[in-house]
Amino acid sequence: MTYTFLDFFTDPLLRAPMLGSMILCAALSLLGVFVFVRRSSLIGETLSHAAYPGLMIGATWMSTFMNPAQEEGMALCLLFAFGTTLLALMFVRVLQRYIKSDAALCFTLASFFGVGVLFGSRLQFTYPSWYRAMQVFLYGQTATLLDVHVMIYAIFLGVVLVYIALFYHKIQMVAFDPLYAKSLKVSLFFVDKGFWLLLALGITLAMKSVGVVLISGMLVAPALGARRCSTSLIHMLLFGCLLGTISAFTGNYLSVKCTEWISERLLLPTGPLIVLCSALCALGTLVKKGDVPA
Amino acid sequence: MNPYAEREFFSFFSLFFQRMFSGFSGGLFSDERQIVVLVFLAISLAFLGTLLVVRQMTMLANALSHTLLVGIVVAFLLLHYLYGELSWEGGLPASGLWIAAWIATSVTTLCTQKLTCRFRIQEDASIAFVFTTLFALGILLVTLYTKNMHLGVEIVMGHIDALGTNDVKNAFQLMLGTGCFFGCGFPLLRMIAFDELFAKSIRLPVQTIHALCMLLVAMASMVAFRAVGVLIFLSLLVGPVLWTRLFVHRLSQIILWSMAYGVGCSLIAIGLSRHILTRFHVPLSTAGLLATFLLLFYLFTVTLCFYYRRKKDRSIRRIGI
Repeated sequence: MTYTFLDFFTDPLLRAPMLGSMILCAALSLLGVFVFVRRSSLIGETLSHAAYPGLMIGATWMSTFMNPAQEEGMALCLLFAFGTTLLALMFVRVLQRYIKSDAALCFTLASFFGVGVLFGSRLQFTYPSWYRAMQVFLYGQTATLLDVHVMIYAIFLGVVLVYIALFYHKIQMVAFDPLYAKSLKVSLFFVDKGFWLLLALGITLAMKSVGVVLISGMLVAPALGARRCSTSLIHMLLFGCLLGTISAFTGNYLSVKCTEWISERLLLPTGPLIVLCSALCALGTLVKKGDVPA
Repeated sequence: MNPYAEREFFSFFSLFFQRMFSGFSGGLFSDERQIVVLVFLAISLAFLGTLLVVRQMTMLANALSHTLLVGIVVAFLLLHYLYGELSWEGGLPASGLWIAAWIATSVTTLCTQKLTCRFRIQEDASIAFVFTTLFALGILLVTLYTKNMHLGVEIVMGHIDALGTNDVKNAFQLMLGTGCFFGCGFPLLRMIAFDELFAKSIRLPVQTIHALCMLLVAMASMVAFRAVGVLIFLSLLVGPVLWTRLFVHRLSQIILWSMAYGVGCSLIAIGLSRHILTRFHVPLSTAGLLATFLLLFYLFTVTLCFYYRRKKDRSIRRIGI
């Protein structure tokens, strides 16, 4: 069966993955731009890995009274993942005051993931079906998205947009000159905390579609492409959002079409394709002449 | 028959030391292979970790451990093409490991340097960009050639029970290589670690040493990914050094103490994993235990240190942004 261009948005089987990943990529690249200008691109990597122990702890608890087919069990596991992501965030922020930033990030990443592996090994022994269900989150499966998830992603994108629209100036201050804000006696406490909360939420939601290991690619690559082509933050946001959406579309499109064009048995995973597409876009912008002040 | 079956924590070690002094008659058993590989690994990672933490390049090690996937796939295909059938089960031969490590290191460091220096992108962003892209490429290649994700999961988790004699040899070579590297060039490395500009100005080969160091890190993560998985490798790389730095402030002593701490922690993790299996009949991941133990012990020590420092001086005020 061959799909036309329009089928990707109307076909009940293809609609949800396509729309879901496009909306999610738009939201993540908006957040990614802020992460990029705050010079902490690597924190996405740490936080996404820190979600893994949450999943495993949640599953260890859920497995005593549920089976993995139940959607609410999965949702509760994601809630746990959100919890450990926040915990890791706090841990990193505290550690960064006393030791070098990169060592703090690396140590948090590895040890939180290690806790996840520990719980996972117990789960694998006691409830293998739960373990397999959780293992899917490691690499993600865009194809399993449903219309419900698209709704959730759309709400998340709405929240991110509202946050940016309401606090645009304060976000700029946080990103570029927190000392100036302090001298004006502007409180940035809630804006800053809100940003990290949104980032953690975004990472938790994205696990269903691209998986733990590739989220940081979706955060960084669009922002990197946008940086080269824009001189103001608002342009960068618009351009990054556009880049993310386009690469999500291309990734999904290629993943379906390659099966069609080359061979029936060739099933390319969508997540890596999306990341590769946005990386190619970002590399394309590097061709542009002229130096951009770092 | 594994003599370590049904052993508890202390009797496990007493048996191990008995067998060690009698020269491991009858070859290495599975548990002994684990201990030997982890000890070699902990020793070489103490050297490398100290240097990386001091030079603030630990996230580059994280990037390397991800891009290794591309290196492994390419080296595997290359060896497959050259020598015909190869089985993944016994571990790659050392030549394959070196090729894979070399490919991964050169691609990662070259791309990162190009992005940072030529295109003037912030260093953290370029590291994150390079390794996620290469990792995505690696996953794609693995799916293309093996048609399943099994290899991918194995790399992340590691599989300590399946260690072969090949792995012991590789770990030993790694330890020897790192020991020689640091033994020969310790004054040089110390100078580069603390004052890179000065080292450059007196024409020391900073770039070459940097590349060699990264190659060793890649090799270490290659040995580690068979045993404990690439992420626990990071925890063994950074954890001991961070812990040691709480008390010790000289480079050579940091290396020595973090070596001892790393070796001790790996021994405890292996013993604990065997103990839990014997007592509660639950097979827990040794790698996970190791990382959790490193985290908990670090937290415990930090709390103690703060408690005593707070007692000493209550007037410390910190400004945090």
